[in-house]
Amino acid sequence: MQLSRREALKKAAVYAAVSAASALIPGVTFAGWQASQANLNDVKWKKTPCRFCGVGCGLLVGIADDRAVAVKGDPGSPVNKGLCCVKGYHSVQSLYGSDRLKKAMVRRDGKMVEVPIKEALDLVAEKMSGVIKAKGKDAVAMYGSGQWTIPDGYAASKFMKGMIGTNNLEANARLCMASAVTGFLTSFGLDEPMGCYEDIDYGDTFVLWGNNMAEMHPVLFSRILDRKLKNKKVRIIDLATRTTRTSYAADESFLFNPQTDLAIANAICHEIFRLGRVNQEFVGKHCSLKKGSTNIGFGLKDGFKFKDQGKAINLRAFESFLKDYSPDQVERISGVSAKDLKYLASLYSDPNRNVVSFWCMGANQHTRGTWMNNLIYNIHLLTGKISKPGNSPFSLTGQPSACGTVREVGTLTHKLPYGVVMKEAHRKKAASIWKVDPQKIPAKPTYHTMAMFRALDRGDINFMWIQVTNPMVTLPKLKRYREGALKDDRFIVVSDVYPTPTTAIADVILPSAMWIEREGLFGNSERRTQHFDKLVNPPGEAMADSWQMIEVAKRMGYGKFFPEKEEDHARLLYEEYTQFHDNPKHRMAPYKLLKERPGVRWPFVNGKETRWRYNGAYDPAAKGAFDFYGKPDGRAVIWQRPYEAPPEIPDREYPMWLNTGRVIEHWHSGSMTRRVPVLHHAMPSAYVEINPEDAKDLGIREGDEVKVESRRGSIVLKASLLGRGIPPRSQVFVPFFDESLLINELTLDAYCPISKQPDYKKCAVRISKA
Amino acid sequence: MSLKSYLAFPVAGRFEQLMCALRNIKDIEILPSDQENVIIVVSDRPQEDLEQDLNQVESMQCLSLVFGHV
Repeated sequence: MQLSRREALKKAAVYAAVSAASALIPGVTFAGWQASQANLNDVKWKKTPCRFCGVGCGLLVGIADDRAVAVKGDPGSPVNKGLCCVKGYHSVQSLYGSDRLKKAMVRRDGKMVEVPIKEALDLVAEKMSGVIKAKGKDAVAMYGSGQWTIPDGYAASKFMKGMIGTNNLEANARLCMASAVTGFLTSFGLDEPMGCYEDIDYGDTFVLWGNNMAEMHPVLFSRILDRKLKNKKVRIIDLATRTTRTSYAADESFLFNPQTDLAIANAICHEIFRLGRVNQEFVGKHCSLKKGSTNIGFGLKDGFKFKDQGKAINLRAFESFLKDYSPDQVERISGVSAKDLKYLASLYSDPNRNVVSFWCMGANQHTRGTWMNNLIYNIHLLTGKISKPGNSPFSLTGQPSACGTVREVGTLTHKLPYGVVMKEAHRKKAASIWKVDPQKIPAKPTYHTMAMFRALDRGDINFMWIQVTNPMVTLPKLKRYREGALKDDRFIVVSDVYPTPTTAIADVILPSAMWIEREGLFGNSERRTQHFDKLVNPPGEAMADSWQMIEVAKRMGYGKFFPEKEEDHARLLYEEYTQFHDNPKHRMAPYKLLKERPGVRWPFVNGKETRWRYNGAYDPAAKGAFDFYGKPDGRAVIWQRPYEAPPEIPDREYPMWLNTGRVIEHWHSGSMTRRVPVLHHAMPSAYVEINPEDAKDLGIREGDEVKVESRRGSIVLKASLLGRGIPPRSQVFVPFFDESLLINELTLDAYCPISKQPDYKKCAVRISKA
Repeated sequence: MSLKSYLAFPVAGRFEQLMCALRNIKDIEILPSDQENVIIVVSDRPQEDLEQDLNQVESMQCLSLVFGHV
């Protein structure tokens, strides 16, 4: 049966309303509508994880006549239990924007012209081979994404590291999750959370560290609010630098001065000692203590290098270090009162409370992001509130497969699907599975993301292939990297689904199949791997990113390493990839099971998911009550990390802090969600949030045009004084989704020296009425 | 083409009045729940124009936009 566009939209509108009503009122039915559906019998419902954030909500997508016509939350998904956020409900509309890329394009005489995709793939292979021949394999690079599916990332790793023989492989998760990774590795020796979303069902105290969950992880936040409605003991604490919708829903909202979260975490530890609430037995049996390097820099110059040195210390030395972080002292730098700091510490240290800490970009996009992650772990380790139901330090992710692809497959310069390139045993394992000479995989990492784009600017990299990401919107200090990419003798390939500022700098544009237009797997924040089938055909000549890579690899003579066919390559690549993790600490669920279930959490051992890692009662790999087996001695590390100021702080010339971030309507750089009319109309353009008192002093009114300037650039935005977010005095906030108002022209490319993740949350600006 | 769906909730005890009022608004379709006090409203009228009419319904306590395509 052929549905008209209007009928399809109407069907989607009704499905969305029924789904929303069902989520609000369990058991509600609409007989009139259901009877009409029985007659139609033309929509097939298929499961998939959501395309957008890292929560990994399960969706059911209605398919009719090779078109996705409706979405509802999957009631069978333990993640969202039938609920979706506004992006999820409208997600399928992002497939059908009017300017969808359907044909390949190449630049000829300065203009982009359409060509058959085979011709474009020939050109990509020819240029890549040419640059390697002329300048060596480290002159080519690939930059991917936490929106890559697992097979995409695996194909990229195998192609770049195993075939080409370069470690020039990075992904945009470096910009959002790298500090979480180094935090996990330094504290526990293994990446990703020990707990799971069920912690929400057991926790009674939720501390949100710089995490506007109400907008960024709305479905998980709904679960917390639901928990609160059912349990009067529940407390939600919003610890943030600006007032947001999360603040309004929280029991307490404490606003701190930018960067001073480091001091606040140490103040909480100070109080845990003072109150005598250190869990001595847990710390004695399961923790070690280390002091890291200090004054570690900010990576602002090309060629910056840093290696952390951890020296063993004892508990007494750590307690002594914390004497500089009494609540009274920390009140002076953080702006949070000593009374409130003591209250926070009392919640964490109360033996009758289960505490879950959540954080995401606030702690990660931080020039001391690794430290900030370590410090939150310190609080949970000192109190023994970790790896138990309801007691969990929980790092959230922003992208649908930042964990599953970038972190687990390892699409970063130093990583392999198992382990790191620096270790011979790990290179040998990869070479054995990939059937290549182990010598082919270089033992040294090359460039992390910021260094890679700096190398492109310098001309040390001449070819870059960018997939599923939009760096010409999202890189900090954008002007340098855009101009670098446009220099002569640079060849840029961009695989995407819509025109963006990144396709604008491309020499070749490859049209990609999006989300359910191809088969794939994502991995979410709670170690849940989720499979989705190809549900509809991609438009025109659009092709899966993984298959684009394989086509180019074949043209470069690596065809024997990729024997898969297009229709089965996602399954076969996943099955090959699982060989890397065939151990009880990280075993992945079999493909067949993933096809059936709404996701399975790893480690998957003896037919069971592992909900709480490192806890012997739940984790088959753990020996004894607790076993932090990522570390050789089985002990998690409590790190001594001080407060250090950021590299650029407001001064007389630029007297305000600039903070950047997201809004609920738009996914990251907005290239997909801005094609969804209702989302675009709800939030059509970026704005600058200004404190009403600052605005009054400057004669700025709601909606006035305001010039925001930093040492790197300026833009003009409309003022928002009493909108959904309100910064404190001397701070402004600008969202980054709007490609016509690029706030990253102003941001600073300083990064955490350990994780190499840039800080998008702090730089100095001035504002004036435009 | 503009298409929107809403959930309309009545003031307590005024479900039937809300149904009547909605039936009198032009170019909308309504789908009442079988057992709960909620009604789905679907329309392709321009949003401002439509919401101006809907917001005048006194028996409606709350109107939530669920889906919109403009």
